[in-house]
Amino acid sequence: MTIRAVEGAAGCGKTTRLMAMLAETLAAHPLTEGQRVLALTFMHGARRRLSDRLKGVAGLGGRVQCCTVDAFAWRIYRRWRGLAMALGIPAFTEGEFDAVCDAAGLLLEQAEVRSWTAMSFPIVLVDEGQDLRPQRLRMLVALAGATHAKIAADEFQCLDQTLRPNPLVTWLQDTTEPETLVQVRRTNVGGLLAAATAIRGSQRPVNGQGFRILQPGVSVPLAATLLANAIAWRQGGDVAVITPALQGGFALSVVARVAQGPCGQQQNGPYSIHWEGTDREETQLIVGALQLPAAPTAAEACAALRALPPSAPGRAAISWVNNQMHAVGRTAFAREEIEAVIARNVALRRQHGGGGSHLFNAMTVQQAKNREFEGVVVIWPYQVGGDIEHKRRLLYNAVTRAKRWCNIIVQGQNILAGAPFA
Amino acid sequence: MRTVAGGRTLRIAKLEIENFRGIREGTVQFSPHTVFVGPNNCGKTTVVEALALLFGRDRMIRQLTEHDFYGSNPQPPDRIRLVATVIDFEGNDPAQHMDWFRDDRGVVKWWNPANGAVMPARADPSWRLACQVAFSARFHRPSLEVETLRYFHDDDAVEDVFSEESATGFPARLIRDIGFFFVPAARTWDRTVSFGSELFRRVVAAGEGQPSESVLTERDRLRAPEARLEQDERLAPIVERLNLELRGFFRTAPKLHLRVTTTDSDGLLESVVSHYAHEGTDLPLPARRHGSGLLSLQHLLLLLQFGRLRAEAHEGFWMALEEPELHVPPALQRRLVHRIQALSQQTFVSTHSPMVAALADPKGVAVLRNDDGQLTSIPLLTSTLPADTPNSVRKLFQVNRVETIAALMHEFVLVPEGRTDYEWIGLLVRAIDLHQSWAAADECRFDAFVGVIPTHDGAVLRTVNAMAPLHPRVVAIVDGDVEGLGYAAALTAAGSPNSGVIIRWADDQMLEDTIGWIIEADAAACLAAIQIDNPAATSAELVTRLKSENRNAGGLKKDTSSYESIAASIGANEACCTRARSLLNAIADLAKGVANPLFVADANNAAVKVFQP
Repeated sequence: MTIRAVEGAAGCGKTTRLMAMLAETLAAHPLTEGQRVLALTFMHGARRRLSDRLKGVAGLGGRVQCCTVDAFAWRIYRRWRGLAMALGIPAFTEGEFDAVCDAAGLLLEQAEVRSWTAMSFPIVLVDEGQDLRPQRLRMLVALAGATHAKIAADEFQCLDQTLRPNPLVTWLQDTTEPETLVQVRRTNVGGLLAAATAIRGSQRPVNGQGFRILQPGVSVPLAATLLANAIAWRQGGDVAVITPALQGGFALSVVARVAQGPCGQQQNGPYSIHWEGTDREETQLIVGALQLPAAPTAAEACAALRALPPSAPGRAAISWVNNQMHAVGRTAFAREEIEAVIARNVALRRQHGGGGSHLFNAMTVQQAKNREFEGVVVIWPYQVGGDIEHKRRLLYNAVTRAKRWCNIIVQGQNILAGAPFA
Repeated sequence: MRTVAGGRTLRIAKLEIENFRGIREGTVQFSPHTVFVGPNNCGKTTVVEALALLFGRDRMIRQLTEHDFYGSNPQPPDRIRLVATVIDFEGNDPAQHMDWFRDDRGVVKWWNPANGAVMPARADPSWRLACQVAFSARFHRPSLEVETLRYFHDDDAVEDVFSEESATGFPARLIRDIGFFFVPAARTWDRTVSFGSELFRRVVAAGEGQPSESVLTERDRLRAPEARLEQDERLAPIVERLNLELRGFFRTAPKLHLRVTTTDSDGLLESVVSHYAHEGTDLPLPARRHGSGLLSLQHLLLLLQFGRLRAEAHEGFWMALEEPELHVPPALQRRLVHRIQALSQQTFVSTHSPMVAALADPKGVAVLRNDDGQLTSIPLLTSTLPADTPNSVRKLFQVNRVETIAALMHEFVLVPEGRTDYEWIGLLVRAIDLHQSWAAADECRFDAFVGVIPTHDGAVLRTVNAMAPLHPRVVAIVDGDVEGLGYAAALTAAGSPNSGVIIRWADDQMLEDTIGWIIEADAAACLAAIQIDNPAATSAELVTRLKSENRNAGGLKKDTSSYESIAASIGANEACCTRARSLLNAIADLAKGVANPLFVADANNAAVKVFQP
């Protein structure tokens, strides 16, 4: 079986190269009836985007299972639970992600499970492989022994400080000779390219074509004016406001101010910028409004859920309660389990599309991973954690999302005196 | 293992049933050709229908109701659950059977042929690759509907498939590949061999013989018939008036035409009815005019043609057949069962006919028993019959298996001391039956409830032991002599038989003495009616001669024709017949655990009920 890997800086077209590799492998080893390609990602958003990219791959024709590593691990563990018990693996629940991945890894190390999986998925695709923790890497290593594995990774884009040295990159170096992509394709704007190269090379990024570190936004109104101006003068296209930290609320306040009304002398704005929520926030929003005792009856649970503002997760929770009543005969519930059902359905809905598209979006660096925008405004508050290396990676990940331009607004002058800006 | 050359070899090794109809719980193991026997309501039909729910095409699945759940009152968490273990995947290599083993299909299991267990990992090379398929149903109270699901059974710890919605569905494609066919006992088949029946279409299509051109030609002919009904001279005026009326309502002036079909190929195929012409008759008659024998047979023969086509195409063919003895005379039963077994990879036959059951390999005959919802299935002849099993017991499963199976189909199984007792009881039953009226007092309940085993050579202990696993209610009947007392004591000591009922003839007596007691009811008339050489003058003399094999001294033991004559005389004599009937009814009562004045408990051993003439 073969392992092929591609490395390269952000925007070099690793995913594109991955798709090309996939097309080559499909041509050489066409899928037989019942077989599919397994495409693994880490976040649900990335899963959606990868799924879109896969639609264009010649010879695939939709025969692909695109899911998160955790979802795949749960699937393997759940279906082979009988063998897991025989192997002495304890019982886990779906939320114990690392443990479930480790168990799935152990199962996939069994020849029978590995070959069963490889029969179903003779080609395995992993994008953003640098984010694989050891438990998840264990699954990939096992699978690679029986499949054609295609892996894209860039160690510098790993935002998990515990993954140094990077387990996947280390394994790849011992296993195969990764292709390295050097030509950045996302942008050909000189200043952007130079800034990205500088940050990656531990150098000071300097202003140039398309890349500007603005004057520090020392107050919320000032930062809001800088942001509003950047949006106003952008000459079209979408904009992402990206922040490495929500702590302290600086980025939130700035975005809120821009939405309130015109800003500064130029009176640019207002602009409505959509904050991309997390599953947790959306869940909190629904659960917070839920008027429910700790141990409700079925009727109380249904009434409380019906009293919520209409939402898909709310409706799903009602139908879950109904099903528990009629399918299992339950009459008593616990508030926590109903909250868990809502959380699960929030995640499910986000997995399968959900959420509209906006011209202006605000998000964390983590959420921005693997995406691209015409313009990017980075809002860098005081509260950015991590070591210097980590901060560099955060800034690099944010800046390299831009195709045409990137502006940086730091919260204070002294930030510019330290890494990654100095 | 039966192998279809180069083709599918799959078969079902076992079926686990929970909460389905009269079965609360149970497991049945199958051989390649299994024949189910057992008393009424033991679950023969339930087992076969469970297979149909698992592997039958959708249209074969009747809508389930509350009555399909054990106890008929399903609560929300109650589930019907059926799990079948499919084995004999060629090469035992999952990689060669991707249609069964992959992510969106089943997971790999291993079947241990020694004990029928299904394990998650292979610990011994003799274990065979297995896939488990399940069916689950629940009663949804708000909608009053039974919801069903067929899926791959990953493991026994699997959460409820309805509340979790995480099951991997069992695809229609595999159901087609398996080719499971079910011929139920209730046969409403008069239109079976018509092109309208799906079966026939599939048979024809499978053989690439769809006679489409002929169908289209006939369709065209029927669209423009030569003699048109609407132009008939008596009909035409009515049609004309109708057309005139219609003209008043529709601008397009529609005109009535009468056609015998819907003038499309589908309508034509639906209208085709099979006719048969026996040799020497000109006009073929529709199948339903020929009597049920031909009707039943044509369906089966068609199925067999289908099975043959599938076998030739290396496709699977499993066949479940309920009561092949229905409508088919014994000579055809034999031929039929052999044809079915020869053409199918696996067959499941339920029968009430000991003859049909005896046609099968005794290892394939499974005796079903249902103890308060607990179903068990025991092969009539397990390969584990102890090596030291005497011929007297072995014979019950071989030369005498028709009689043995017939006995096992009763509510109670009576094991007498020997062949003579078996024959006498049978003769008495028939003699009484022949003279039975509709009066309730005349009713002999014995034969409806009690089946008698043709015990050999006084092997009562061995025989009781051999029957115990096969039937939950075995009753022993022994003589009142020293040997009989010994058997009774040995049985009691062993906690046997499983019914707890031992019947013994009166002290120092045996069955022949009881015959004497029956004749005593009207000795003069009865003895005079007995057609034997040197008629006996007294019943005592007759009893003595019945016990003796010395023909020179007038001994009658084992003289079947004399037995028959004596039995006939008993039956013909009202008083004797009444006595015989009361005796048999008393035995039936004892078997049921009901006290009867003809028998009293032995003073030394309360389990033994002693005859009191």
